Amino acid sequence: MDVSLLLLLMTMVPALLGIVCYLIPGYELKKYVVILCSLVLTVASLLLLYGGQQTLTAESIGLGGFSVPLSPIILVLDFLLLLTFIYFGIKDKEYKAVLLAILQLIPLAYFEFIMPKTAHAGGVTFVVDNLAIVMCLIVSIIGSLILIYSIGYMKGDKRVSPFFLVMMVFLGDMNALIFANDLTWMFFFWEVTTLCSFLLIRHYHDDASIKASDRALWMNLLGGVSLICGILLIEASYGTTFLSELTGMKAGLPGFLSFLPAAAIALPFAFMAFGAFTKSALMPFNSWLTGAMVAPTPVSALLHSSTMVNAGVYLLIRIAPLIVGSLLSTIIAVIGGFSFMFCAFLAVSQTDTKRILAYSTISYLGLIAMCAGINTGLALTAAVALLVFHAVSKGLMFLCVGEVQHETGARDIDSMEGLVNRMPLVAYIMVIGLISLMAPPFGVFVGKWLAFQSVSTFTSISLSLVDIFFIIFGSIFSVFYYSRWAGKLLATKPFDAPKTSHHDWFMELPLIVLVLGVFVSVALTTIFFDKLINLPAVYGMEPSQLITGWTIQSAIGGFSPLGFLIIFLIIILVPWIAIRVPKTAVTHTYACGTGDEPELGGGFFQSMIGESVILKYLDPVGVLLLVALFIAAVI
Amino acid sequence: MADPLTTYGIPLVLLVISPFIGGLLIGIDRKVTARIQNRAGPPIVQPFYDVIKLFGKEDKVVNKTYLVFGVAYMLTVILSLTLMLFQYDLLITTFIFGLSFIFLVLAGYSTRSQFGYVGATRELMQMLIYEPILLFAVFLIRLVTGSFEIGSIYTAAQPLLYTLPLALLAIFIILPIKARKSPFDISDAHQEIAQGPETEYSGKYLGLLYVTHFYELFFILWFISLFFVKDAALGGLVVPGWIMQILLMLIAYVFLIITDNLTARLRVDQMLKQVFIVGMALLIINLIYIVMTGKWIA
Amino acid sequence: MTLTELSRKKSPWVLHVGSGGCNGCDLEILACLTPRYDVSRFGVMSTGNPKHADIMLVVGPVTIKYKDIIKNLYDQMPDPKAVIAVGTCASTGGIYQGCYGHCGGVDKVIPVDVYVPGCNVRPEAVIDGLVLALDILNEKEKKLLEERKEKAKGAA
Repeated sequence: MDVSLLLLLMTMVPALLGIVCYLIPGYELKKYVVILCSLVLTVASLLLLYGGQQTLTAESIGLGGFSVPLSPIILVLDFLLLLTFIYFGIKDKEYKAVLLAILQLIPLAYFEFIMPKTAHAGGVTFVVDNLAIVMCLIVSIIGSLILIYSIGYMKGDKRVSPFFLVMMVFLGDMNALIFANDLTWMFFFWEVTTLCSFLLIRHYHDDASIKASDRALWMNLLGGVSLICGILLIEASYGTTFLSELTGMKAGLPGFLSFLPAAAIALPFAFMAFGAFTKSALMPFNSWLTGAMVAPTPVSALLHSSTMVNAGVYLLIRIAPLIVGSLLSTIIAVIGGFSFMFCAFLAVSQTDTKRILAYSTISYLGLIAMCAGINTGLALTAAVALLVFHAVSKGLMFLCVGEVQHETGARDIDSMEGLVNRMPLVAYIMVIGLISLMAPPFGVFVGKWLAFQSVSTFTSISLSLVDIFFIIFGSIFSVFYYSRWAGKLLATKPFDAPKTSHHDWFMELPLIVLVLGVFVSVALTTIFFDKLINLPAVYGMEPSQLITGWTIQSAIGGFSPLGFLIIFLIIILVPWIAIRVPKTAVTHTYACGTGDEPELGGGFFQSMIGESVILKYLDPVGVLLLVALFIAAVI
Repeated sequence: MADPLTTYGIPLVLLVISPFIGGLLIGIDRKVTARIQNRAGPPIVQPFYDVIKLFGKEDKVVNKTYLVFGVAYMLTVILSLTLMLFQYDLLITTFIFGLSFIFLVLAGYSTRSQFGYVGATRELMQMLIYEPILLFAVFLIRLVTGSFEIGSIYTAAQPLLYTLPLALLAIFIILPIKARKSPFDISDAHQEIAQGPETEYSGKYLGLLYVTHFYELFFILWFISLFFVKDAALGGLVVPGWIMQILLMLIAYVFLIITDNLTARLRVDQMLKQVFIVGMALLIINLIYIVMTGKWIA
Repeated sequence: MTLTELSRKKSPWVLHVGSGGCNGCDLEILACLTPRYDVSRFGVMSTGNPKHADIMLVVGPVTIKYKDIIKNLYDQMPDPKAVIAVGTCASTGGIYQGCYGHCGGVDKVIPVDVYVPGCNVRPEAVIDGLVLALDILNEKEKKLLEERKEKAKGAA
């Protein structure tokens, strides 16, 4: 199909359908619009996958005979957006946001109107390469499933119309961000995601939501300031803002920065990396994501685990080929690894399951950032693999937690004890989701294994040795908090009969599809590596070289995901089917013979390693690392 | 390559006799411990009597979930031992060995008994302590031999003992944790939490868990024996590689028995501080040694 | 004798239950585990858990508070199991006979297989009783299997 039509379907049509949904009265009719949007997104993304890699230069849209140029529209919308941020900042008395929005206006105005730009022929505006296709599949398919889920979840909510409007506009905008090749356009789409996130976090309009949305706003605006400075510097150094053209070009230090050493051409990438860190909520910016958990669960699943926060690490993966082998890349890896390990450490002491998932999301995004920072072919393969598998599993987990909260009204771990008796479908899917996030042979483990391999492959001893510590400790902490949660779900009393619960198919169908997706994506890992991951030439290797048959074999080790998946299923299913427990054999737990079932709980160590205790040590280290980021760019 | 008999036959034979060797080692441990304490002690084949008796008992269970995970724990330990013997990838083998403990932890939690709960939490804390050291040792092995494949240990220039002596010492320190013996038998602290995660098992499922401990002991001793797989020239005599392996396993086992008898159980925070500080220090010193003498392969 | 029966004799795991009383017999049982009497040469292991145990060593007259607990522990022990009443108090009520707070001996609560009298019971007597119980285990298992066969035949 024509790629411009597909792109239109994926970016503009969801936004239009969102407006239609806003205007249509009655929940029943809104449902159909949402389902239509999901279908359009899914089908369009699959057609795009079928179509393969291509590019598109779309300077304007043809609307009924008029040719509307896109760049000026985006520019106008950009300024309107910043004015909206200032308005919200003043309304909520959040003056940091006002200040940061003004700080964004200044470079933007300078860039567009004052700065002398080298003239060059129109570049490719939309690039549809394998990485973009993969991200688009994640956003569209998982996004569609989450839209269908939210039909069931948001039933009876008072502000359903703005909710669906913003969700669908967000999906269209996210797709546009993925394909955008012009950095100024990407900046606009980036800031739209900030706006969508802000509006969705404050959905319930209570005190906690408004505070959380304001914090998310100013942290993301801070990233936006950094991003626009980076784009400005790229235009000044390279003479172009089209990402795909940067690889071939020679860079020169712009005039106003000539007092810095020659290596400072990496400085724009430091700014862009800073922006990516705020969007992905890495340390020390983690508080906006953990605070954003007050939002409804579909928001947490869509924005804050599978799609929007992926935009940050997506940008890192995009700029990685341009900073191969530099000290900046190493520091990015250190920041990513630091987030991985310490956010996993923070999650150990949490009792609220959504906060556990939030910290775990930041932690895995840190791991992806670390792989992007290590910047070898193997590491980037690991980063893309983790991106996909983590999005599927984490989205699944958030949806499950949301359903549990919807049904039982509670979302802390201790109340989920023995859930397999009360809500069997959701609880077993949760257990599978939790195991898929930490255990071999599932996808997240394949990514971690490749990351481990790439960390232990270095040609010279450098700061990157500290990444080994980060990855080892981080993965062990993740095992800790996931196993404890999974164990709690399975703890049933001996004489409790399973209850039948009623099914809300809008919420449960996406869960079933996602859990099947977990298994299918693991089984097809080798095909995924072979066909869908392409690395730029600077790395000297292609992931398809790693694949022999159903095995991933690199120079230093091999693993077969499909083989081990089959063995894993045998190990779990054979005992499940073969073990029979006759009714006469059931007795009480030991409990010293009292015959009572004990009350269990605790073991969260909050006084020793709780948030309030260690965050005050971790935040300064995070800030120091960010300072090191900029210093590394100029050395 | 070598003929199929040695590449497949010997590992298969080892896999089949490994529970018997593990059981005999545990029996010898009980006998030697008894002799040290100036008493007679049970016969060497006592563990096998225990297992066979357990298979002859009725089941008394709490629910089905923890049984499934207990059997999954056993199957995963056997899988990891198979991978280790057939010379697969050491990193994957270590992670799958870790997966077996995840299953044990899930089993402990799903019994919903206070002993299972505390035992599973302590088991997780033990994992927190020994997994970093084990994974770091695997990383050091990769640095020295150039690859994670176990086959590369056999083809390396020098036995691992010469280049990674401190890493071996660090693994000796975590050996009591894996074998559930003093001073680190915290998850199975008999006097404190009944049997920890294994409390609610009975009959044939307990027998299977017992057999799993045989396999586990063999796994960890075989891992230690990988540190010396080459023929050694002592004086004028050439000792073949497999005898050196057995010697190293015996030294590790004797160390285990003696430590068990000489020490009392430590608390979790004491174990954390001691094992981490000493173990990590040893590994880092070894890493510095490798880096400075340039013995690593990129 | 089949391998299973031999193993049952060679590996009795013991659950030591103290149900009130003066604890004198408790200490004598613990003395059995010391190097002087060394009951572990028979393969005896003291587990704290009825689900792992074959033989229950009960000490003391069963106080009324403890009656349900002993029944629970007995139910949680898998077959074949044996109960040894150690000491005079466990056998008949002993010095507490006529008191209000106890049931008068273990056999008023659960079926007992071996009685080991004494006050305190000597460790050698306890070992004697244990060895007697080993054969009883095998007899009980034979009886259980026959009962099950008859039930299956009866049902068919």
